[in-house]
Amino acid sequence: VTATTGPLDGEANVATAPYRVPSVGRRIAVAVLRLVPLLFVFVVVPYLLLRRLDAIGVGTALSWPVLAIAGTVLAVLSTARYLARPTRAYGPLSVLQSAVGLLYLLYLASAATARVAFGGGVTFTIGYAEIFWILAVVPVVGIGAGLVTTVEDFRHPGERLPWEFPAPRVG
Amino acid sequence: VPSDRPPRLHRLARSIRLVGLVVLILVVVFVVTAAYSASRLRVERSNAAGPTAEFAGTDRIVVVSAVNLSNPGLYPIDQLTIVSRIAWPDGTLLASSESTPQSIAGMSSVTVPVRLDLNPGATGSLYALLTKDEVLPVTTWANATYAGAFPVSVAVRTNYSWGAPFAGLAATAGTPVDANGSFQEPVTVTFANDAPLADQGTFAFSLIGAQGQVCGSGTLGVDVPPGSSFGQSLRIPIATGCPLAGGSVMANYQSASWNLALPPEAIP
Repeated sequence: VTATTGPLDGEANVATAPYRVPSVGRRIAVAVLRLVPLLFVFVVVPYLLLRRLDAIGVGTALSWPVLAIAGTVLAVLSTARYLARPTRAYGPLSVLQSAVGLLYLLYLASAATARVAFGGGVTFTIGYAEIFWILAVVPVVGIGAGLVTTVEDFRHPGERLPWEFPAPRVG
Repeated sequence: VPSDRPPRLHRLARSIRLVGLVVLILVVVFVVTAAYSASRLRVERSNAAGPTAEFAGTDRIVVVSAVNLSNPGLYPIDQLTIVSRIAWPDGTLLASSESTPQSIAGMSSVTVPVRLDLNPGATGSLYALLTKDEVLPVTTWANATYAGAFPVSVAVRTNYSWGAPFAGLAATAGTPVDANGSFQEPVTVTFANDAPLADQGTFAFSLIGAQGQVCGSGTLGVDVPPGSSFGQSLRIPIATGCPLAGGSVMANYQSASWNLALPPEAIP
């Protein structure tokens, strides 16, 4: 495994501390390993959850294909963002991932009603859109952070690398 | 000179991401604690035997029930409203009620009264309720917001077995009998008290002649406990020369809280 130290991709070396960027091969290997649990969380878990809810008679307005597509996109974007972390694409990819995450949460909020019918003529309905509205703060903040990173990479290329990929301390 | 302090923009981006992480953690903690608190909610009817009925005024029946709601969790239940509708077997609305919105703080309990005021308006409808056992569909909705974030709605559809206080009521007029030169009209009253309260009152009968004149009157006191049948006859003296044939028997039931006019019964 090789690693890049110092300035990356011709970026000016404005760093004030030593750093060590993992090689592309290593990043790809780790990204693939990350992709597996991400797909599990964003695609498999929603599928199992929907199937379980359906089995116990809980009806929701959520569409499994939409969840699967959105989950896959989110997992792939997260992987791409990880791969691009040492580059100028990291900021824009962070913005894009957060924007997709925001749309995902807005979709979940629009369909956040669960209904279950019990025996004896009892029907229970619960809405939980508020949770997704509050959670939407997270991708909104993520968009802000991505924009700041984009500006930072544009104004001071490579500036953040020593703090994101600090070189191992020796001695 | 190397510096241990990250650049300003990097610190800003990191701080913003930290805010997002904190929000995420707070939301997760909130959802987990809300779910745990909600699992401890207990809802039960205050009267295990079901709703009770009572007379009110002179022409109304009130079905009374109450819901006990125990909220031992951390979060409040806001804007709790209970709406009930009771209908005739064919679905026609008979009565409805809506409780005033109320809030239940965390770690507290309340009892929400549900009062269905059956005031059908039409005498025929009221008469039907008093003289016919019915299975009345009742739908109850409880709407509230839990923990300020979860709108919750519970709908309960049940059937209310209405036991009539004068089930199968009949005041039957017989053929006038001669009693030592004066005529008397026999009237037989039968009914069953299927209601959970006693029938204590008086029937007042009037014999109305064919031309509409009053030919005689009489009263019959009743004290019928719940679940009992009643059958009794009385003889009402007929005024001399008053033609009853083709007339009718008018009856009125009166108790301390109730006044019911019964449909006229034809005299043969």
